[in-house]
Amino acid sequence: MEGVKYTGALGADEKEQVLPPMERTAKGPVAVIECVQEIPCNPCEKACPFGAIEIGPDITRLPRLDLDKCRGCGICLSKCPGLAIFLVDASKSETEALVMMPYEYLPLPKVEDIVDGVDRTGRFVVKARVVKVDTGAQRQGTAVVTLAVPKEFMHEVRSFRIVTSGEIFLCRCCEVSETEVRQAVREGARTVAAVKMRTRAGMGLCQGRTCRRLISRVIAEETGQSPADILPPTSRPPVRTISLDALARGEDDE
Amino acid sequence: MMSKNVDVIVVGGGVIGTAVAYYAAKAGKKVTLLERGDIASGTSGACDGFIILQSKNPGPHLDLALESAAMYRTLSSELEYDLEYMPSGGMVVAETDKQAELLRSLIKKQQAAGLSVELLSIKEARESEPLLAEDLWGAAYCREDAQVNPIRVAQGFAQAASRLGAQIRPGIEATGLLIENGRVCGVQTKEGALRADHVVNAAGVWAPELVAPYGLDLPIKPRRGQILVTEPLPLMLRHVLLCACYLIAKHHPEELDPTERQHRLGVGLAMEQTAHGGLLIGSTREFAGFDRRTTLAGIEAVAQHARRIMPALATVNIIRTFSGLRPYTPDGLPILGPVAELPGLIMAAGHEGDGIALAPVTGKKVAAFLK
Repeated sequence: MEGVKYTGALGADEKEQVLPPMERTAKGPVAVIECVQEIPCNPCEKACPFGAIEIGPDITRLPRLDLDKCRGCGICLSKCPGLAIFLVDASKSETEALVMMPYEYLPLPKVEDIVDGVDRTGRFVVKARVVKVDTGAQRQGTAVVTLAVPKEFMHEVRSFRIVTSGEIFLCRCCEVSETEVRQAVREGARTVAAVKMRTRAGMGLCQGRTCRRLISRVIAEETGQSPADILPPTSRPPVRTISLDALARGEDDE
Repeated sequence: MMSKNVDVIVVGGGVIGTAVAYYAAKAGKKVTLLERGDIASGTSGACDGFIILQSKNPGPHLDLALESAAMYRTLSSELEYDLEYMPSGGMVVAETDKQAELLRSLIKKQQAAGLSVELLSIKEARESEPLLAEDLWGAAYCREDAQVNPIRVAQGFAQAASRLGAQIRPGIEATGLLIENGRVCGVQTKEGALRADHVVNAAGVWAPELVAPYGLDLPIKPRRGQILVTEPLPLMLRHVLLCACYLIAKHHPEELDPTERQHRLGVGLAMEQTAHGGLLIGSTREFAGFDRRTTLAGIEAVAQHARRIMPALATVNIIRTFSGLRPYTPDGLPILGPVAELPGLIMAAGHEGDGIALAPVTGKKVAAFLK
C-alpha cells in the first residue's frame, strides 16, 4: 500500500495530482501544494496575496493552485500547518533547481552548508547546498530553507539532514551512534539484546522504547533479514521509571 | 565440519570462560570457546561489578581474590579494552552491635592474612560516604576493593583472546562431551563434533547439565539475585557498598531470622555507582530454579533495605530491574581444576557472587592446568 494514508508520504498517483508541469517550473518559482487529504483546513487560501489558492466555503476541499496567478513568493509555505507546501524553481540554472521548504528543527543550517537532501520518507536522495535560510518575523517561527539540488531531484528532495561529523545517535539516552550499532552487528550481534550488550544502546532512561526499532532496522539492513524477524529485547520492569521510595512502600506481605 | 583438533575447548562465554580462553591463548594454546547465547548473555551480563576482598574468608578464597585484584589493576591496558575499572575502595556497613562483632572477628582474620581493612564508626564512615544513614553502627573499610564493568570484562577477554588466535563462537552450544577410552576428548555440537585435548567447563549455573549424563554430579545450584538500576545520577556513592547481612546471607544463612521477608529472600545490600552514573542496587539471594524473572517482593525488599542504609536514595528513579543466576556451591568456593572421574575435563565454575572478582585468577590457574 502506498500513499499518505498508509505511509505518511505521497504515492505516485498523488504526486501526479500535485506536481506542476515542467513548463511552469522552467518559467520561475511556483508553489507545490502537496495536500491530498480532505481535511478542514484553509490558512493557505488566506495567505496568498495574489488569490492564487482557492478552497472555498467548504473548507474540507483540497486547495487548487492557479499556476498563472502564483508568483512564487513563498508566503504560503510557513502558513500551512501541515508543512505540506513547497516552492520549486527550475529557471535559474541549466543543472540546478531551487527547492524551498519549511523547516521546524534546530539547529538551522547555514547558507553554503552542504546537507543531505532527503525524500518525503526521510531517505537520502542527494547532497544539497543551502542557498537561503529565512527566519524573518513574517515566518512566525517556521523557518523556510532554500536548497539547490540537481534538477532531476527537484520533486524528490523535500527535507534535509544536517551532516554533523557523520554521527547520528540511534540511542539518545546513552548517545550510541548509528556507526557503533553497525559495527556491533558486523562483529556478530544479531539481536537487539546483543547490540545492547556491546554498545549500551537501550540501557538508558527510555529503556529502548525509542531506539529498539531503529536498531532492528540496522540489524535487518546489515544482515538482509526482515525487521520483523529480529528478536526484540527483553522488556524489564518497571515500564515507566518509578522512585525507589514508591517501590519500597509496597506491602510487606508476599 | 568441526572436526579440527584444538588444544582446548572452553564451554561458556561469561567472565570465567572468556578469561580462561584469554590466558590459555596467551600461553600459546589453540583455543575454541563455545557459547550457546552471546558473550556475557548469562550471569555475567546480569550482575554487579564488585572486586571486593572483604567478603572473602581468609584462606584460599582470599588468596585467590588478592591475586585477582592485583591482576585487575593493569588488565584494561593488557587487554587494550576499557573495563571501566575503578579503585573505589569498599565498605561493609553494620547496622547493629551484633553485626559489628561479626565484622570485627572477620577483620581480625583478614588483617592477619594481609588485607588492609579497618572498622570505622558511622561518623568516620560518613566523612567519606556522607549519604549513609546516621543511625547505622559503622562500616568496615578496605581501600583495596574496586569495581569493574562485568560485560566489558567478558568482551575484553573475548576480543583479546581472539586477537591471540582463539576462535570465539557465540551461538554454538556444546550439547555433550566426546569420551573415548574414559577420557574426555572434545564436545558435541549441533554442527558436529569438535575434538580437543582438554575441555574446560565454564558454563556457570549451566555447568552441571553438561556433565550430568556422564555420571558427574556437580553441587552447583542457581541462586537468583535481583538488582535495581537507577537513572544516571551525580556522584552519590564513592565506594562499593555491602551490608553485613550480605556477608551473613552468604556465609552464615543459619544466623538469619526466617520470619523476616528480607532474610527469607536473602537480601543483603550490594550497591555501586557505575562509570555511567547509574546505581546498581542489589540484591536478593534466592533459590528459584532457573527462573530469571524479577518479583515484586524481591525488588521491594531490596528497595526497602537500600533506603534504610542510605535514606537519600528515596527520591532516585529506578529505570530497570533485572535478575541473574549466581552459581552457588555449598562451601562457597568455586570448583576449579581437573576432574579425576573424567580425565581431560577441567572445571571452572561455581563462583556464585565472586565470579567477577575471581575471573582473572581463575583464567590464569586453569590455563596452568592445560599441560
